[in-house]
Amino acid sequence: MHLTILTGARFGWIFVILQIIIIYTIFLLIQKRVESRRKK
Amino acid sequence: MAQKREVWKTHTGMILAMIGTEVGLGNIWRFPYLCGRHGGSAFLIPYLVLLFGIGIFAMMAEWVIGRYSRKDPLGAFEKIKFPKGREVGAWGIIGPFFLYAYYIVITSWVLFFIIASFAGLYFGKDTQEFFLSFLSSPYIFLFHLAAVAITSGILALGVQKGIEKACKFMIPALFILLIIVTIRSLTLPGASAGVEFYMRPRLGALLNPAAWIAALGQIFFTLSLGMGAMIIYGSYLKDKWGIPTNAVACALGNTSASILAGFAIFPAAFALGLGSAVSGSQSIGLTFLVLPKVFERMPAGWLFGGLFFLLLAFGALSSAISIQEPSIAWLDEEVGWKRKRSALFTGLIMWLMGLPFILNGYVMGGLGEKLALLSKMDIIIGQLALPLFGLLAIVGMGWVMKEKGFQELHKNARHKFGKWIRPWMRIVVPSATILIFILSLITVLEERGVIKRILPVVKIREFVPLGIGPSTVIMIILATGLVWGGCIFLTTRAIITEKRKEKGI
Repeated sequence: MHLTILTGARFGWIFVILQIIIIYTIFLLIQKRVESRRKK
Repeated sequence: MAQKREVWKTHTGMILAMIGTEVGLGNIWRFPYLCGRHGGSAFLIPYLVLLFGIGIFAMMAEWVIGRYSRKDPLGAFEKIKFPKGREVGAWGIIGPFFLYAYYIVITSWVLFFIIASFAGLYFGKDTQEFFLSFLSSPYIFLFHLAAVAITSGILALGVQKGIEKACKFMIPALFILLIIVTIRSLTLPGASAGVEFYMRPRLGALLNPAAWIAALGQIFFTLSLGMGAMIIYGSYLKDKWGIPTNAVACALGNTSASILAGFAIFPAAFALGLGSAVSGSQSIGLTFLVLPKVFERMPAGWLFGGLFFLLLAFGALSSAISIQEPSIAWLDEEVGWKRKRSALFTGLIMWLMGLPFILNGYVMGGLGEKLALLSKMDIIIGQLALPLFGLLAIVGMGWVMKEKGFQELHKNARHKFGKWIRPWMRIVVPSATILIFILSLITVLEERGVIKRILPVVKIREFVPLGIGPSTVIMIILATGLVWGGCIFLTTRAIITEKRKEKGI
């Protein structure tokens, strides 16, 4: 049961959307750091 | 810190890299199916009309943005002063991340089927059970890792030594293998029924809007638009290379691979009694469930099956490379990482992101359940996000760059477009792309039962072989001659022109 949720086999839509949000957030964080480094 | 930005070393290498991006799994598993379904060789009419009317213009828009900015998709949208350019351009980095995550999983299946074919592992077995057992086996992790390692390894070597060299080997090899498998397929007794199904023109099918919709969708996806790949590959174009002629040459090369694929698949399938199974299936079903049956029945099928999956792997890997490249270029240029480090990092993240798709297949039971997560991601990224990002690139060139965009398009071009190019690029091409997005959305909602079916449905009538008549022969000669002849002529002429320019003649 836990495995099916963890692997996205259950609640797949939530899993897919969460994955997109997480990666986009990580990306924005890196981007912010790059920009602040540029300004310095 | 600023190092010299790489560009494609040779013109031939650039053409092959571009064709490598375009030719992928869709050429082999979807185009022949669409041809068979929407009027045989008559399908080439909407396909070529829309390819040259819409598709290559959308592709040229991405090349223009890439070459003008000489940056990764994020930097490119900022440089052309697109509103909220960095946020919009970010999708040219993020989108390919997700696309790669599941595309590479399918590529890893192809890698496994190369070995499975050469070793005859699926011979005498039920192909669905065989495929299911592979999805549930630990070997899949190994093949997934191998696929990620191959693309990351090639990309770590750089644009010229990595991508260009790999494509210079993989793409000619793909065509040679495709020709070998096609010859085998066409020389089987009874192959003519397959040729007839694939190429017999059924002009009546063109009256159905579904044929035109299918052609437009196929063109958009086969040209690798909206995934940042064409922007980043375009940014490696030399200034002296004219965009229009080269775009036409690449599009023709891509189309010739699609047409050949049908000749490799249908004649063999019909000759070996699997015509109805092949003509009724596409994508995963065709490639991993039906084609193994065809190779099992074929004399020396282990060899031709192995070669077929090898060529499929070349197509898939060369496309996967182009999908991974935008994020590497971004880390390289924006974050300031070394290329090897960027390739390793993106490879690691993309490998991690691919694991849920594999674990989903590993844990669940039935075939549909095993592929559930993969198909959901494909809906969001492949069917919805890509057309949207593609649209933004077209708008970026036509409406944001304005005259600068058209100047870049015509820079050093042998053939320049007339004044009609402006309204065409600004209105017709974006409208067609919006149409693709709306149709994709409707298809997704229809398939999931959210809305009632509104798009026209095409039923395949029972196929009755009539024997190859003169009209079929004429259409085959016209279709293949037009595409290959055009491809060879344009590519050769473009290469000769570049050589002359280099020598200063």
